[in-house]
Amino acid sequence: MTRAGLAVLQGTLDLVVLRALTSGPRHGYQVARWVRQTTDGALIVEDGALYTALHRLEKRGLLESAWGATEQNRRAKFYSLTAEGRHRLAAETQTWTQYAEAMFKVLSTASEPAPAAPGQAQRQAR
Amino acid sequence: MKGIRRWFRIRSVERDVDEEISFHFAELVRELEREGWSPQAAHEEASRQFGDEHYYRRQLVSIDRSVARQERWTQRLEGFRDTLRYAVRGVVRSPALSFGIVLAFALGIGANATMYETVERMLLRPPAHIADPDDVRRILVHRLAGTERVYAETVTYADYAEDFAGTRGFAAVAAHRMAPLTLGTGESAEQVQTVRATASYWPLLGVQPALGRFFTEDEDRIGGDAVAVLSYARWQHHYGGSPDALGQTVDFGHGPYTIIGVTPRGFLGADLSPVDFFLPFMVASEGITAVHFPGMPGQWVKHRGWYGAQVLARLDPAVPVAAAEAEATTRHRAGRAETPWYDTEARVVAAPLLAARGPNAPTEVTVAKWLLGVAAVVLTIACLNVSNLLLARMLRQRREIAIRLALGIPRSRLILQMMAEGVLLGLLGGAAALVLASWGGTFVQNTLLPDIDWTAGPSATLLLLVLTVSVLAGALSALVPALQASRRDVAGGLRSAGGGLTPSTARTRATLTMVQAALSVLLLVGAGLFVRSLDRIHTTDFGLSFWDLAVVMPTFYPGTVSGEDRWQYFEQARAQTARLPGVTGASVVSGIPLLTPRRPTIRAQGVDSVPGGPTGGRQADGPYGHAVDGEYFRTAGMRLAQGRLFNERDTRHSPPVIVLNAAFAQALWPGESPLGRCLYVGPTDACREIIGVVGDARLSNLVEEPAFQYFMHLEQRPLSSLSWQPDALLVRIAGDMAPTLAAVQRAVVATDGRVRFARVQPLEELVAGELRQWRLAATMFSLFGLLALLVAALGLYSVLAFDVAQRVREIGLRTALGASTASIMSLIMYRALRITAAGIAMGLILALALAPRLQDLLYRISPRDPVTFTVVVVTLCAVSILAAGVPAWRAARVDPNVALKAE
Repeated sequence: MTRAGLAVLQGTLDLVVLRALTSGPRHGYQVARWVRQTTDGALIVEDGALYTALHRLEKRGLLESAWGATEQNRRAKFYSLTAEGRHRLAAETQTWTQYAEAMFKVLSTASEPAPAAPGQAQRQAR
Repeated sequence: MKGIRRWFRIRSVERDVDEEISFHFAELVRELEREGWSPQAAHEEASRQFGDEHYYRRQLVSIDRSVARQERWTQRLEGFRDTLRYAVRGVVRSPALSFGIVLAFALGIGANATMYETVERMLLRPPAHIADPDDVRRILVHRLAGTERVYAETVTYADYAEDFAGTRGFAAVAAHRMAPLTLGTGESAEQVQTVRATASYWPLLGVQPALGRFFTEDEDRIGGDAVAVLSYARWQHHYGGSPDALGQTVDFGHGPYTIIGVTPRGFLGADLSPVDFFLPFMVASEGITAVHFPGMPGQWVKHRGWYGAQVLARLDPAVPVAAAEAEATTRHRAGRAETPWYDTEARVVAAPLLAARGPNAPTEVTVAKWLLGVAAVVLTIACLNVSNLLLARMLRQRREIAIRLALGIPRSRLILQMMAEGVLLGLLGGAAALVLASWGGTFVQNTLLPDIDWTAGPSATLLLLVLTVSVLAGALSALVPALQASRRDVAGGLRSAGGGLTPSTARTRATLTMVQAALSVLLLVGAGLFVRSLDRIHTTDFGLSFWDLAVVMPTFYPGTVSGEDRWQYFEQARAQTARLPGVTGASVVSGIPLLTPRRPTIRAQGVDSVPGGPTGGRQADGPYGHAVDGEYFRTAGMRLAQGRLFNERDTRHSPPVIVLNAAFAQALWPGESPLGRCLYVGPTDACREIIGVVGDARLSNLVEEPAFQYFMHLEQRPLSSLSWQPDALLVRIAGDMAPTLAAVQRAVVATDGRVRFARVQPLEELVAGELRQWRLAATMFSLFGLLALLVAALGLYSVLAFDVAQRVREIGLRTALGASTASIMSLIMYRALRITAAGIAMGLILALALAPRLQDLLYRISPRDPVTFTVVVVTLCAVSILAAGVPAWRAARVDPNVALKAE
């Protein structure tokens, strides 16, 4: 994945990160692992880009963060959804699902012959 | 401090990012190792998965930094909002107190704004629309006049044209002359202010017309087109600001002038007083001179005795001022070589354009500077008072403050909040001060300094000054209470109910009150000295009761009245005037010093040379001659000192007689009686026998010695000379002067159709300029002094009232134990008088030390005048007893039952 490609995927990436936090606060490494496991590695995202998304979403007020301890009692920065983040996730999920369904319909329709151009029709009539 | 904190903040942002990244790496590497990767490979895999570590780290740091910045601003904004909310709440919570504080600030700041505006106009702001005003100078001649050297502002046109105009060291030179002229005729005639100026005046000042054009060299010559330039104000008020004004004509009694242009708004020429018309110097001077001296066209141009021009010069940046002055001096001395009496040491000086900064600065400037200082003292008193009031309220809120401190609110925040409240009050006061200053300014400007044009309005500097002073005064006033509040010990504050008075606070408040009292004494002493000066002037015997005298001077249409006609006209006018109600005396005069001076060469029997007498102010070298009718001495209120006055037997055909004033008689024949000796008025005069001596009369120059004067009978005036024609009526008026004067003016004009206009002038106006300094000082010092006294009395009252409220329990206990009402009252009064006495003592010491600096501004009164000092001390004692009376009375009425059960 190239850096130039990140920008194109930014909206998607944000949605992935928000989704990763629906089941409660997680630190960055957990988010990264969740993404990899859930998509079976189909979605290749650099971890750095993931962190960038986390920080950016925090800046936009969709996430909040706090330092805490992991199960192994290591110091880590945990992220959780804010009310606004939750709201945004719901809205984006709906939009994205509708979009995906529509795309799927478009792409899965059997191909038909194209309608004839008006010029051709005239020529045939003569 | 702030910088260090910000640096830590940035460090912590970077540390957080580093920690987060290294945690990620540690976890991933651990997991990979668990899956069997070698540490080396695991590390490389983690790096690969992460991407460009440097790039992402920079990204994260920059995002977090902007977040931190945002948070900082939010916090700051919230802190500001909190402080402001606290301040507003504080102001609203006790409206009466806030009102008192705002009022004190408004008065203090308003006084300063008013005086600053006045001083700024006179001293700091150059006349408007002048390009590079610092390079424009007034040319003065430092020379002998009589016995002393003066900086003469007025020179002859010949001095200007032949000496100064040709000085190459100056970039440009112009002559100008301000003079009142009469516009129109009869009852519709009005006095207008005109400036005659040479054509070089306009380019020298660098001013552009608002409409039309200014006059040119071609118009500024004898026989040139008579044209006039309107001032903007005149154009607005009399021509409705219409361009049609151009081409209309105006007549000042010597032919019409065509209006050709309008000056820009606010342009006053080189001076600060309002102007209506600007006229070409040569045309106007010739026209005016021709009215008075017909048959001598153009003679004034070359005549080194025609003092009618003031000179302006623009400095050449390439020539040092001293060099230009030296060149002008050389030229002037050469030009004056033919004038026999002229001072050979005469020196030309290029003085500042603003007269107040030059050697002839009017005394009002000094007074105004003093008053600015006085205004600062008033503001100080106001600030002390506000401090005192805030301190009182702080004590009342002591419990609340203690709780806030106990809850962990930092002291710095507490101090900040209290200061913010002070600043808010200061700003409210400043806003009110601007309103007060606009009223006060109008009063000072119109009544006390009417010669200056004030239409320019307040400057940006003034507004900035008021803003700064408001903030500073508010912050400083709140500083002492804020520091005291934060110093309170928390536990004590919580324990006490409503807050007891700690000794240190009580002392602070007493000291503040004491200083207020001291400063009030200082201001009141100043006020007293000026009031006494003004009073002295009004009660001093000037030998002439000029407070109820007026001069009436008719102007005739050119060439219509002369010789015997004139004499008859004046006799008729005198008779008409004397019959008017309110007029208690009228007399015909020839020769009023300053207005129509007569100073012929005279000889006295047995005296080699007749002394000229004192000079100074507007008064020139004497002696002054007068030809008066038999009514004169009674009308003027002059008293006979020796011999007799004129009577019916003195006629045209009887032997000529003359009366001297005492100063002149004493100078001519010291220690001897002048009666029976001879005086000769003019070279061919016969002996005029001295029959009487009258008291010295002053018509100007109240401070200096009286001028030398002599009086002939009008019927015996030297007929050979044109200049002894009757030219004015002296009228004595009882009661209100203005309406009677208007009636006199109408009567004098109506007596004869040949009268174009009659000018009436209360004699008091002749000395108005001299009185102005005392009037200004007496009025403003008194106003400020009373203001200070009021504020100080309020301060004392608030301290004592608070004391009483604090000591209700103690007083109740005393009453319960049998203390009498009188003893309770004296307890409170004692404290009040102790504070006041200390303040008065301090104030007296200050006043005794500072008052001698006022010496030059006072009139015949010692700066340590015992009457003034006594009155001030008595006043202050009386006021403090009054201020203490209410709280003392309240203390005496404390009901022990209520007081002891309270809490």
